[in-house]
Amino acid sequence: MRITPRWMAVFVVTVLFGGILVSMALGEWETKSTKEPLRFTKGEFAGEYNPADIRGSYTFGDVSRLFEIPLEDLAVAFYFPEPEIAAVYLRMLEERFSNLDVELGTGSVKLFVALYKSYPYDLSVEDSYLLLEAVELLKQKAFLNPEQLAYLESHTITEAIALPAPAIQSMTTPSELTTESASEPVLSGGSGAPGGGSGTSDPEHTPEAYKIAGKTTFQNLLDWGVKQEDIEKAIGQSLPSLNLLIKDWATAKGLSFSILKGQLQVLVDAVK
Amino acid sequence: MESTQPVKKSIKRRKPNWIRGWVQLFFFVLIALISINHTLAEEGKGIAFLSSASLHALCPFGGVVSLYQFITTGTFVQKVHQSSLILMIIGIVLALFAGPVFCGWVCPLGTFQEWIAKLGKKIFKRRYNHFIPAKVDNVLRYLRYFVLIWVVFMTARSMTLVFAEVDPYYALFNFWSREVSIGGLLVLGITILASLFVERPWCKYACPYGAFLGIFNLFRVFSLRRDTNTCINCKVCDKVCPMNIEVSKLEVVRNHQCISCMECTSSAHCPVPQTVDFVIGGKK
Repeated sequence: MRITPRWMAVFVVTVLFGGILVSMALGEWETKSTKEPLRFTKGEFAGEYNPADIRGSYTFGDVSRLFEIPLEDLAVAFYFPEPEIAAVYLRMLEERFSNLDVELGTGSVKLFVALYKSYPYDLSVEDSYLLLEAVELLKQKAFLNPEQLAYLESHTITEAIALPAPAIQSMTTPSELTTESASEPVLSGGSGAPGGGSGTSDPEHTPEAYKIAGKTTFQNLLDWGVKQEDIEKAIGQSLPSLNLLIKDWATAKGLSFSILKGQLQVLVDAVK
Repeated sequence: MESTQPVKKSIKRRKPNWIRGWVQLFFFVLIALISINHTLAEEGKGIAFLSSASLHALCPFGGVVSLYQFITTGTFVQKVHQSSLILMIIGIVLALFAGPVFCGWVCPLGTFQEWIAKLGKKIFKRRYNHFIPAKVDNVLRYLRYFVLIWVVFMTARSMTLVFAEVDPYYALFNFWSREVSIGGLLVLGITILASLFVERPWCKYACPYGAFLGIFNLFRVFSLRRDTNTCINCKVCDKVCPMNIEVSKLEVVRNHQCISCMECTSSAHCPVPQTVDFVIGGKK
């Protein structure tokens, strides 16, 4: 029996689409991930999901559900507004933090989850970086061994990064943290940041060194030339004790030091 | 014995295999639309009635590279989904009967290369598709099996879709996306350039999925046969074969490079009716 091109066309189309239709009817046609990572097969955590298999197609909501990590912790660690973070795909991280010198992406989430849950994780697989907020959260909530601490020490993002204004605004829950002068808010590293401010009114400070860090006080801001009314506008109240560390004040108020720091850094930069 | 005398049967004019062209166009447009819709869907603007699946989910080769992980862990390599495995099975069913018919009739990258080939043929005329010396060409044809082994091995070892870094098919339909790799764009560029000189260069020398499907030519149910009693030895079949197979020297085409495009058959370019044909069961 001869097979003509017409016969072949019918054969190809029928088998191809017929096969797809049959698989659909059987409920087997899946073009999206089932979002179930591999599990550890041996060791102390056998049967638990393995963070190394977290994928960019997962949302933070998926990560929270699969690894039982509160969304508020993920929101702090990856600097997203908590109400929105559940629907954010991990692959969006790279785009959001694209202005960094290092990559902050799905690998960072894998690292964070593994350390948060104290799961075994091969730190040599890829260079993953975390924001200072994530590192501080891990130090507070997870048990980190010396090797992991050393890794984090060299893989903490402390450089200043500009983030899209709407994201910052929606993240800034307390209304007093908004400032009209902050056209492009900045999130910068805190204590330990290279070139960060010393927290003293050192006369030898160069303009490049005027970076708000964990040891920066309100007095430092005034010394650097920021107007009192601008600071008060940013923090939404009159100046507290001038020798108070900004970080301590933010913590006491239940505010994100990173966000406040970003707002105030804009004021400092404007003076320069 | 091959006949060198004019055959009594009527010699017909060549006619292009138009139906294959339409099938190829259909699949090219379908994949392009789905890929665009995938991008739109990610921005919340997708077209509801059209699939918004990623290209990885619609590539049967994803099933091939994922097979090891699927068997050992029950999961798929990142970015690959169950649909890839189903398409792989469908591709195998097609190949068991008709050989790499997927390559010749469905694969949009193959179609794209053929379109560029039309330009190459206009530029170089008869020299087109004959730039590479036969000895070198014959060796290069096996390169794609090394690519296949490398991709399957590396994917099994790393559990990541290593081929995505150099995949010209993905690059072709995602060149606007941030997800496309530089390597993929580079290979696509080389493929486009090479297609001006050689027909289907990617398929001939590098495509791992083509290599996989090509194996089925050795035992496909539908066989491509040349009737030596009626063949006038005009070598039209050789000239029109995009894969440079010398059909005129064979009785049954079992070449691993045949893409079952049917261009050489009497239904298309062979001028003698019922001389080169795809047949079932070995007889016409």
